Amino acid sequence: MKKNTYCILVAVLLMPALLFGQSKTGNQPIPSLPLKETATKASASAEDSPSADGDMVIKVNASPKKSLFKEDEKIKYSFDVKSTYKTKQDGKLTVLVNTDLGDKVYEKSYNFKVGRESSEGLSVDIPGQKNGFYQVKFMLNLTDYDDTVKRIFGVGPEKIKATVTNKPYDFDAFWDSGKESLKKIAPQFKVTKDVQQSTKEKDVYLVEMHSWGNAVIRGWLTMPVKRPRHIPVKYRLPGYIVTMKPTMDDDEFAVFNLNVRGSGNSKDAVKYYGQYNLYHIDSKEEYIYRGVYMDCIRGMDFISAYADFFKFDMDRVAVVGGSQGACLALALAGLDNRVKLVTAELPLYSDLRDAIKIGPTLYPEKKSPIWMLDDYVRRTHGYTEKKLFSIWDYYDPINFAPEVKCPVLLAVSLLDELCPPRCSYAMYNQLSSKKKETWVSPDLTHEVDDSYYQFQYYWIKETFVLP
Amino acid sequence: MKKAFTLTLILIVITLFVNQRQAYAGWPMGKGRFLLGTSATIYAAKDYWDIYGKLHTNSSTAFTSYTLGIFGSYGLSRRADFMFSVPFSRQVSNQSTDKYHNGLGDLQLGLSYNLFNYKYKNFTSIYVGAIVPMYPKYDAQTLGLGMYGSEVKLMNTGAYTLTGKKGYYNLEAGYRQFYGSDAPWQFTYLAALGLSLDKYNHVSVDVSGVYSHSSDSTANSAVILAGAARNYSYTRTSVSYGHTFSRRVSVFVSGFYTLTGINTGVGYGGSLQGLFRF
Repeated sequence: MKKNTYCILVAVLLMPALLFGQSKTGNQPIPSLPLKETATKASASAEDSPSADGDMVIKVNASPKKSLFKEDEKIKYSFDVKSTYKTKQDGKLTVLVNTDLGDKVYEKSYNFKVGRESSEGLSVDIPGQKNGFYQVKFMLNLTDYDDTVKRIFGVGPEKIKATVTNKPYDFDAFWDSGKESLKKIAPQFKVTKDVQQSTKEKDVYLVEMHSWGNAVIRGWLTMPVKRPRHIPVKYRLPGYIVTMKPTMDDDEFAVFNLNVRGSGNSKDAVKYYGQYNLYHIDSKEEYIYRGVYMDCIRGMDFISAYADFFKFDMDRVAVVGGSQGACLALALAGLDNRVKLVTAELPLYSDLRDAIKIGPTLYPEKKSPIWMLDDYVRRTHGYTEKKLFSIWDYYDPINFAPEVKCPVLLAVSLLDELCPPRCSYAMYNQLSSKKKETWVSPDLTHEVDDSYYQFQYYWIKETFVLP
Repeated sequence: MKKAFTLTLILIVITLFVNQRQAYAGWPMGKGRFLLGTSATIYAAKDYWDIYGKLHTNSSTAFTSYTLGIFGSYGLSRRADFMFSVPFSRQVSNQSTDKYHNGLGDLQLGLSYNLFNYKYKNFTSIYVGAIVPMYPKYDAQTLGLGMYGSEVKLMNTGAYTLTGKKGYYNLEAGYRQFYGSDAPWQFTYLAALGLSLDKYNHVSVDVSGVYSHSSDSTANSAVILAGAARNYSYTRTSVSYGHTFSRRVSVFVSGFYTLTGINTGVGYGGSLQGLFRF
C-alpha cells in the first residue's frame, strides 16, 4: 500500500476523535462540594468584559499539560494573546514565580507587542525548581490593557512531604478507644423501603442507625433491581454540610449514601451552633469530627451487618468522597480494614498544618472551611494555632494515611483554593497502598473535570476486576 | 470458475467471522478482565459476481457454510489486550453433487494496544496479529488460504449520545499480508453504528468489506483455473440486535447481505453471538 493511502486511512480513523476533540464539554463540579459558593473553572484564558476599544484573549498552557515537572527540569509555558484592539498594543509581560507560601523564586520581564487585531505568542522558560508547588503569575501590561493570569505547577510531587508531620503518640489509642466505645452503642439498624423514591429499576431504602453519642444518623441505600448474585458496594461520604440523596444512576453497584451528623437527613443528629467545623473545637474528645468519623464507621457497620441480606460483595466495598467526603473516606480506610478501595477527590483538611498557611497566602479572599479554622485562631483570644493543631493532629487525613493499605485513587486540582495540591500530595505520599494513582486537573479549582468520573469508573472496575 | 467462487465464499465466511468481534474491538478490556465469545453463523450464496463484476444469477453452484466460532480477549494491562479467534466450519458446496468439508479454519491471534483516548470516551487502538491455518495442506482450498499471514489494524471506537439515547460507533481499517506463492494482501474495513434502545436492548448497523489482491495478476482466468483465486472484493452490510442479560452476558443476533463485489458470491445469512465477560 502506498504511503498516501495509509495517511488517508489514519485520517479517516482519527476523524471522530478530532471532531469530538473540538467540542467543549462543561466541567462538572464534584457532587459533594463543600461550599454553596460554586467553584468556577479557573479561566484558561483571561477575558475581561470587552472595552469599547477592544479586547484580549490570553491563553497560557504548560508543557506538559498536567503542569507537573521533575526536580530541576525546565518549566515551560506557552503564552498566547489575541487582540481585537484597533491600535497596536505595546508593553511588557512579567513572569513571576512564587512558592505556594508566597516566597519569590523567579521573575523575568519580556518586551511584548501585539499588532492591531492580531495575535502574538511567546515561549516562557522558567528555570528548574526544587520539589514543591509554585504559583506563576503572567502579568501583562500593555498600552490599553492590563491583566494577570495565575497558574500553579508542581515539581516532583511524588517526593513532597509535609513540612511538619505530628502524629500524636496516643493517636492509635485515641481512635481504638473511640471504636471500642462505638461498639458498645447498639446500632439498632432500621431499613425501610422508600416506595416513593423507588423505581422499577432501583429499590431505595432509608437506613437509620444509632451512632456516636447514641445520635441517630441516616442514609440512603440504592439497589439495582436487576443485579448480580453478589453486588459490589459504593459507600459515598458527604462533603462539608452537603446533603446526600439516593443515587439513581448507578446500575452496577449497591450505593450507600451516608449523611453524617449535621448533614441532610441527619441534620438533627447534632445541634451545633456557629460554624460546623468549629463545634467543640477546644476538645479532641468532644470535637464534632470525632462523632463524624465514628458515623462513617457505623455506616460501614451497616454494610457489614446487611451483607448477607442484600448480598453485598464485601471484597468489593469502595468508599467514595469529594472534599470533606474524601477526608472522611481516607480516615475511614485508615480506621477500618473493611474498606477495600478509596477514591478521594480533593481531600479537605489534608496536611492541615501546611494547608492553613497556603490557602490564605494564595487565595486570601476565599472563605473555606480551612479559612474558618484559621479565622477562629486569629479572632479567639487564647486559642492558638498550637492548640488548633493539638486537636486537628488527631483528625488530619495525613495521620491516617500510613494505615491506609487499600488501593487509592486521588484527584487533585492545581488551582484548588480549599485543598492545596501540595497538601494532597503530602498526604498521598504517606499512603501505604500498593496501588495508588493520581488524577490531576491543572486548570481547575475545587472541582474535577468530567472525564475524571469516566476514569474513576474504569479505575474501580479495573481494581475490582469487574466485568 | 466454480472452485474459485467457492474459495472466495470461504474467505468471506472467515472474514465475516472475524468482523463479528466488533462487539469489543477498539475498547480496551481493562487489566485482568476476560471476554469470551461464541458464535454460530450460517452463510449461503448462489448468485455471484465474476471477475469483471458481472452478476451471474443462473449458477448451478450453491454454497452453504455453517460455522461455530470461539473468540476472546484478555486484558494484559490497562492498554494492551491479547485477542484470539478460531472458527470451526462445515461447508457444503453443491455442484453436480454435494461436497462437504469440515474443520478448523484460520486461527487469529494478536495484541491490541490502546494508543490514546479522548476523555475515556473515544479510543484509538492498533491491533497486530498473526493468521495461522489450523487445517491440513490438502484442505487449503476449502477451509482457508492455507497460508500464514499477518495483520495490522487501526480501530477507533467511541460513545455518543443522540437525543438522549446512547450509542457507539466503531471504525476499523486493516491490512493483511499472507505469505507464500502468490500470497495476496488484503485491505479490510468496517464502519459500525450502534444505538441503545434502552439499558438492555441495542441495535447496530455496519458496512464492511475486503479488497484482496494477489501479486499474481497475470491472468485471472489462469488463477481461476488453478482454483486459487485471490483477487476479489466485496462490500457487505449487516444489521444486529443485541440484548444484555447482565454485565456478564450479552447475546447478539444479526443478518447480513453482500451488497456488491468482484469474483464474489452474493452472500447472505445470519449469526447468533454470545458474549461472556469475566
